[in-house]
Amino acid sequence: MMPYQISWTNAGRTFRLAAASVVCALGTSLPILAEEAAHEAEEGGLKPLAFQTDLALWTGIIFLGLLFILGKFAFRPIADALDAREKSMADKLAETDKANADAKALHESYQQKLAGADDEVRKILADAKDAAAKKRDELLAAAQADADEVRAKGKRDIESDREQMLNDLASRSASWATDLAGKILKEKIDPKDHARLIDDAVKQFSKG
Amino acid sequence: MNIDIGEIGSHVSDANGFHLPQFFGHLPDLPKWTVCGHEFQLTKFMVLEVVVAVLLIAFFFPLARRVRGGQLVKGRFWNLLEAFLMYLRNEVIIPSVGKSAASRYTPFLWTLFFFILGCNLMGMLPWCGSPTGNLSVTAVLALITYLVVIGGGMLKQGLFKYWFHQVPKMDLPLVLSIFLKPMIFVIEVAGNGIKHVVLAIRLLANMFAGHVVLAVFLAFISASAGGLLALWIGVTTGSVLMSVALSCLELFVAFLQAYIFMFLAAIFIGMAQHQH
Repeated sequence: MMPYQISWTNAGRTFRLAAASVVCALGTSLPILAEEAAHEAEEGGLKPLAFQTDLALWTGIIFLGLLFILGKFAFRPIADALDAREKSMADKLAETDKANADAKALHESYQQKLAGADDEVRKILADAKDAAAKKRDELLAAAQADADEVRAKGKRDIESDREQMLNDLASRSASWATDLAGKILKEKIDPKDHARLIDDAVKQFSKG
Repeated sequence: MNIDIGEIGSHVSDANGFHLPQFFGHLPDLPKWTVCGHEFQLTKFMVLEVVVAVLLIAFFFPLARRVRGGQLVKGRFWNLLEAFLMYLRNEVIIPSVGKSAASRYTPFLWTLFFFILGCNLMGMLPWCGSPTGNLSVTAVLALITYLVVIGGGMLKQGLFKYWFHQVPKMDLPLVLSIFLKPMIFVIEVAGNGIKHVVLAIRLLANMFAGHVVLAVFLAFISASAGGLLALWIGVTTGSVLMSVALSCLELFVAFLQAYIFMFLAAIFIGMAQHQH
């Protein structure tokens, strides 16, 4: 242990000893002292029940004057201010409650509107889908009809061209045949007979 | 051993001047006047009452200016004062007197509380004293309270009805009521007066007793001087510690007694507003 280190155990013991001695000293001396003090107090001129008229009058005047001054210029205005503040707070509270109720109602209304808008959006989407499908079907039908018409027209044109070509071919073939037959027969065929022979040949060809 | 309570206890009692410790010197006595042939001596408690009144004016005038129009006050001290006022008004005065009559009596009850509190706290200052530790002060405060109580009752119920209403309604035979009702009336009126006397005595006793006990504890130091040194050291240590503890208690008692006086006054006013 260091030479000047404080021993807390010893310090605590010293403190306890001191405290015990104080308590013992007080315990033994206080009753004696209290008795003596009470005796001396009676003879010492302390008279709490002694009435001093001047002090009583002074107190009355001071208190009533203070009541008048504070009542008129401080406490009445303060009380009025506190009332005003309470009223203002109550009003603000009522306004807040009302605003809160309004906000809730508005919120509910918006929620309802929002729900309605959802339904409307769904309806619009469904309508749009229906309309698109209908339009698509119409367009497809029109395209199909056009295509069918173009195809039919093409077929007709092809048929007509084929018949035309066949007619031309028959006519030329007949012409060439009569020309050839006339050369072979050495006689000249008059134009009327020539035309009649071609027509007969074409008709024959067409039938065939 | 010699305990001069008269000297040490001058703190508790009224005096013609302020007694400083000897090494500070001696202050001259307070002035004396002759008013209409009557010799009027200004005393320590009178001066302290004026100091309390001036302090209250100095505290509450600015507060009134700050809260004007219902504004919120700023600052710890002003909030503390307002918290006192609000608590007394909302928790004591309105429940006791009733909401309708509260605005009429609130200034009186506030003044009563703060005046008593100020006078009580003056006893915690060195070389001052508690004016409320004197019967002349507490008796006047109780008398004013009594006048406010019966005045308020007569104002509310009617000049004569208030006194008639002192007797509770009883279905008594005529002969009995002739004897009983006057006696009950006397008992009720006397009881009302006694309640206010008790109001004065309670405040006086609490403030006086606390300071006497403090003075006695400090007197032990001088009383034990001249004897055994160990005894004197022990007594001095114990006295100082006990005085500190008792001073803390006195601080609490100062608030408590002001509150009790005002609280009972509010209850008496409230009771006088309604018939039995």
